Amino acid sequence: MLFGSLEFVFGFLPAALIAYHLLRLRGWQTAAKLAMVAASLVFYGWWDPRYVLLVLASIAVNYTLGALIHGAAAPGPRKALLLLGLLLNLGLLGYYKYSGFFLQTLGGLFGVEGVAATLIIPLAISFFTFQQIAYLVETWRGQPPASNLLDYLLFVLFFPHLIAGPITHHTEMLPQFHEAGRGRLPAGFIGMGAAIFVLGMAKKVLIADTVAHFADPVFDAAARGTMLSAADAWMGALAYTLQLYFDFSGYSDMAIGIGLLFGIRFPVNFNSPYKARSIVDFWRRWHISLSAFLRTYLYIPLGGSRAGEARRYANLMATMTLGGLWHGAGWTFLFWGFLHGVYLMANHAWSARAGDRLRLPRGLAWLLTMLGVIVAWVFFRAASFGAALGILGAMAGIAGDAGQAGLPDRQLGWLLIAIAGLIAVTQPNVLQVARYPQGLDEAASRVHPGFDLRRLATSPALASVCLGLLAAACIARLPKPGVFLYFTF
Amino acid sequence: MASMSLARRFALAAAVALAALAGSLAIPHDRHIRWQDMRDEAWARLGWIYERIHFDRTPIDIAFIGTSHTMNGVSGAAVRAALAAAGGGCQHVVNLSYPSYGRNLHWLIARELLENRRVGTLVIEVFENESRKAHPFFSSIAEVSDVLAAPAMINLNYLSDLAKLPARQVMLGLKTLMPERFGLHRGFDPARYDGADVDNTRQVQVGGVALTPVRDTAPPRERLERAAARARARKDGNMLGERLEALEYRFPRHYLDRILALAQQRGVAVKFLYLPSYAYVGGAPRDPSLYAGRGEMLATGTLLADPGLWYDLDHLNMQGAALLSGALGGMLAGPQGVGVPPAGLPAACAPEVVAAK
Repeated sequence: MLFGSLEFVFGFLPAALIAYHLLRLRGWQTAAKLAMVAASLVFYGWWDPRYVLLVLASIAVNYTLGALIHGAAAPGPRKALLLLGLLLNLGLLGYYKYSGFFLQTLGGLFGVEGVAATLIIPLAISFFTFQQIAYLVETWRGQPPASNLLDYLLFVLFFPHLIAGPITHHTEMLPQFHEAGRGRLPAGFIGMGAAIFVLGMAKKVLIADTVAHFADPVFDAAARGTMLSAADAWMGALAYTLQLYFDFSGYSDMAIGIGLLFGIRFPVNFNSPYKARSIVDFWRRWHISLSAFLRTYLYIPLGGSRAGEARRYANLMATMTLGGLWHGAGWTFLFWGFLHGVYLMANHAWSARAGDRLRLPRGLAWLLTMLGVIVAWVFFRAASFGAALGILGAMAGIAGDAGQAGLPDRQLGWLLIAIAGLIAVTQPNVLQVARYPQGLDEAASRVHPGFDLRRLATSPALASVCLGLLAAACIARLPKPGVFLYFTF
Repeated sequence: MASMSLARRFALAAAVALAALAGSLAIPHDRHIRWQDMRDEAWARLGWIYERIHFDRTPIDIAFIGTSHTMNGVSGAAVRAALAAAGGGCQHVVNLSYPSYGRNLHWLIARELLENRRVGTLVIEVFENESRKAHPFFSSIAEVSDVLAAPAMINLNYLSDLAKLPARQVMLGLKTLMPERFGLHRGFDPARYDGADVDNTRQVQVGGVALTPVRDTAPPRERLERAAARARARKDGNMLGERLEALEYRFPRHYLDRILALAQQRGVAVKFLYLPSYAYVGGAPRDPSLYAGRGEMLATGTLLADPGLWYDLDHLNMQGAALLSGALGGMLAGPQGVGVPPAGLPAACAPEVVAAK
């Protein structure tokens, strides 16, 4: 079930909210939490009910291991239990997500075709596996485990973030789930949650799904080996750059909005990444929860920056390349991660050597950063290296007779790309407009907006009218929903 | 305003959203644009149907309306020739069938035809049982009022059809303002027109583009028989039980009744063509009472029992279509004959007129 679908918006979500809040208002906390779990299982099983058992088994094993690690006194058994947990989690992820890829690669090396059995990747396996690995590691480090299975179930399963994040950390989520299902829910949570949900949905169904019409034909044509004109190649690359941002951040916004409707605060996952003026800055703003996970559980354990410059760069490359592989079992994903590793190395090396003495003009720094990001996205989206190189070659002006990319109205495409680009680069993001999360605690009178979208939020009536219009536009688009890009990761 | 309560803000936003959605339904557009807007594969036939009815003054003496069974199974030119040869006179036969099940779309096509042209005979396809499905593109072609007033009971598409309207209206409004931007054309362009009679029995072509291979093959008999057995085993003609049968088939009956009522009102003779899938060849409609006394049933009997006449389980190949079209000429010229063509019955067709397009 997609967030941007009629059955979710008008069926599942209202039913889940009503059930939860009715039980909460009656003071039946456990029943309210069970309703959240049941709703999450229905949400997950809607896609393929067979994998409900898999995710439940994964939860049972990790919860048990967490309790055993916490209960074991001696360091040896604790470490053995942690290693067992890591082995099981990574084994599950590897089996479902990467076995086909590795078998195919091996088959390719030995000239054998059709060796890889095609497995259906269970939805969200990358997300719930990473969350539980972090849980086991932190429990091993001495953090208290979940106090009961119900809270742990919610930590992993809670449907708003289940299938595409944010990747949440149990230290910030378990206390919230412990308190869920009882007490007063401030009106601010409902108002802000609904507003963020509508704005996120608008990003997804109005912007991402629209610019997708100008990205897909270009990448499809490149996959067929069609030569592209420079303008078409740029249109495809820019359209995909914007599609991915509005799609994924829109999804994250919707998740945050739905979380608030249940009284749960999720971490911020995007902070206007296309405003970044360096790659380091970009990774502080893009998929923040994944960056934090990779930094805490991969980069730092590998040694981080503590063992000299060469080792630091090696760690960086390893972290980013594995981060690329996390997104998908394919060489283009791996290369995307590798490329960002190279960018980060160059960024750090430049900062270390030039420092403040040789700082690029802001506009040039932004342009260079975006160019790197766009080039990397081409590999991320393309069906193969050949297709990616075809697009990049065309973007660089290296192309013969251009074929038909099958693009709809190009003028309209450039107009839409310009509008979406301006929103991404010049406007505050949805969470800034809604003042999430600080607005939940602060008085509204403290807002001092500039000349931008935040001004709308200062007038409740105007904001309501705008949200109503946006909601109408989204509802009109819902019968033909696109697919969330990050569902497949 | 700063102290506006949450409930008021919700109510205001909901009112604005509802008003915007309702307002979108009033956005005007060009009906020709609407009918030509469906441009994928064989679905693009709708544009031709509209143009044949509205812009081509070639008479329409006999019109077929049905699903892809009839679209692929009946050649208007071949029926015309066979009808002339059987002494039925020279009549203009047009096949206005369209892929996919759904009597509601048949109603839209029949209404468009009968309200705008004088027609002698309307031949409506019938197969083993009335499909309870609504047509997937009903909401693309229907007037707003058609969607709003569609029967909601046992109509699984009612809400989704309704939900599709606002975006459709906005897009059609834009497409009417600048059709060229969307690859559509304003007004009738003879150069783009597929002609007075298109033949989908040999190959489905739209705008000169072949959408299917030549339909001259047949699957092996065993495969066809297995598929037929599976289809018969899967078929549940009475999901709600016998007592609720009227309710279960309320949706197709509603639209069939409307087609028949309009035909009667316009003085158009109605016939039914029994053209089921291969699995039900030689049988009869599950509920003959739907058609009894409302028009002659053109029964194909065992005419199409040879597996070599079928392209797949549901569709005839070109040999099957030729056989059926030829037989239809005789059936239409038979005891009950056809309705009197609007222009009167000519004695015979000139050879060049009979020739298939």
